[in-house]
Amino acid sequence: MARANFKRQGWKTPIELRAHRGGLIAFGSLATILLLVGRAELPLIDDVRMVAADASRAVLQAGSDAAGWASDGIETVSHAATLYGDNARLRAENEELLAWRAKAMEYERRIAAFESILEISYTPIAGVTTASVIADTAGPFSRAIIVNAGAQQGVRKGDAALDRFGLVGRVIAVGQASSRVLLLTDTTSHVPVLIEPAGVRAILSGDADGQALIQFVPGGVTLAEGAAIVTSGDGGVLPPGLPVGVVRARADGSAVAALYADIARVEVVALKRYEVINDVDVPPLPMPDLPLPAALPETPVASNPAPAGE
Amino acid sequence: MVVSIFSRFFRWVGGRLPFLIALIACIAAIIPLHLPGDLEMTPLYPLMVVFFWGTHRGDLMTPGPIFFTGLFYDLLSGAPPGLWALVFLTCHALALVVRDTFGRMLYSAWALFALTCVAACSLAWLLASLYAWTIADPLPFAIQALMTIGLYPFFGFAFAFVERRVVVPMRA
Repeated sequence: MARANFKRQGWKTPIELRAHRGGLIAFGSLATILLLVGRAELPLIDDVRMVAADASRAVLQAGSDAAGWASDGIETVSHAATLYGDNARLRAENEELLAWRAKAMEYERRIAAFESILEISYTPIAGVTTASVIADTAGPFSRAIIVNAGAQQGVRKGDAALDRFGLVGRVIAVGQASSRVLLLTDTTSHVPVLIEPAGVRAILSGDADGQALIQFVPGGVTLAEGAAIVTSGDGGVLPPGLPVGVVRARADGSAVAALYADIARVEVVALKRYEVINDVDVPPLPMPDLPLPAALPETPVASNPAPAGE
Repeated sequence: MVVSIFSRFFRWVGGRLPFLIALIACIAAIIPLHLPGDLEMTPLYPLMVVFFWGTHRGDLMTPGPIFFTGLFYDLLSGAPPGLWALVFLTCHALALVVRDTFGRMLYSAWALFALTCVAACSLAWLLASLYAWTIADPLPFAIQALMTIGLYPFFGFAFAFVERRVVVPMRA
């Protein structure tokens, strides 16, 4: 009976069947152990992920190039149909924008004058790397992208990733020639932000629906729909003042950020690193509103001064 | 002599081809498509490969390659390491048990795949919920399962073609 069984199942010998069963149990146990050990979120796992990403880089690059050409082709065809209407609309828009440009230039002169009076210094940029997105791991587990620049191109952990419009996320792992950017919509992303014009501090966190939720707004504060959101620079990971989005109220009463960045279709990102505040391993400054012991010095972490302009 | 080494090498490559296709499927699953609309999910390409070769050519897709396919997919996709490895192994075993129990009764590869895929996504959802210790949103998993089931026939035919025209001649 047993002999007929292994033959019916396509095995040549009973040993083959037993080897298969043994393999299933052994590798199944190994996967379970990995899953349990992995809960500890060891930094090693991030390193191994980047090795895998580096190894797949050539295929990913080729695949995303092909996908890019295909979507460009579709776009060209669909644009051809609306060419005439687009042209008229762009002409009108251009006229409007020229008026805005004159205004912007005037403001620029005024701001420069004010800055010279106030002697403001901004967080200096240590470097910018432009990279294209070669993988999009928008699955049920993480919302992250892999870009084709890594340690060789000067990318560092903690760099801010921006597209043409605003903040996309930050670099969480760096490989040799690729790095992983955690998007603002990932559930493990928590970014301290400032909501203008009153300067309300809050935390922007990804939620399960793939939106960026505005959390921990101080009690009694109501956020105005359409108020601009920028990074606050608290915690020292991202510099202050990076454009994020605007406030949008949801039906359930919570507020989300309508991001400036086109996060679902981001193709190219600028990875910017900033001096002083870039070291993510520096312990965060104590919360200012906690009662501090009297003996504590005024600047507890000398190596991590608050960024200028805050 | 030279011919013999060559044919052995070809045989060896032919035997590793299913695993190679599985690894490429893992990479293909995370290539950004920039499609219009808000659909962010990609089909579970690696499951298609593991299922097809696991049920059709069990000698070429053994638990080892299945485990490493799952682990590679975990590492690339940002899932907890070991999660998809465990899911693929469990569903491979399930597919074999169902196939050998029901035999010709359920002998439509697509029906068997649909069952396997639903089991895979349910198990992934369960493990994700346990891992994060909150009830994960089941909708992305359901969409992923439907997309994968819907696309399987195309890939099934392609894999069958590769098996007949590439793997079998290489290993002859």
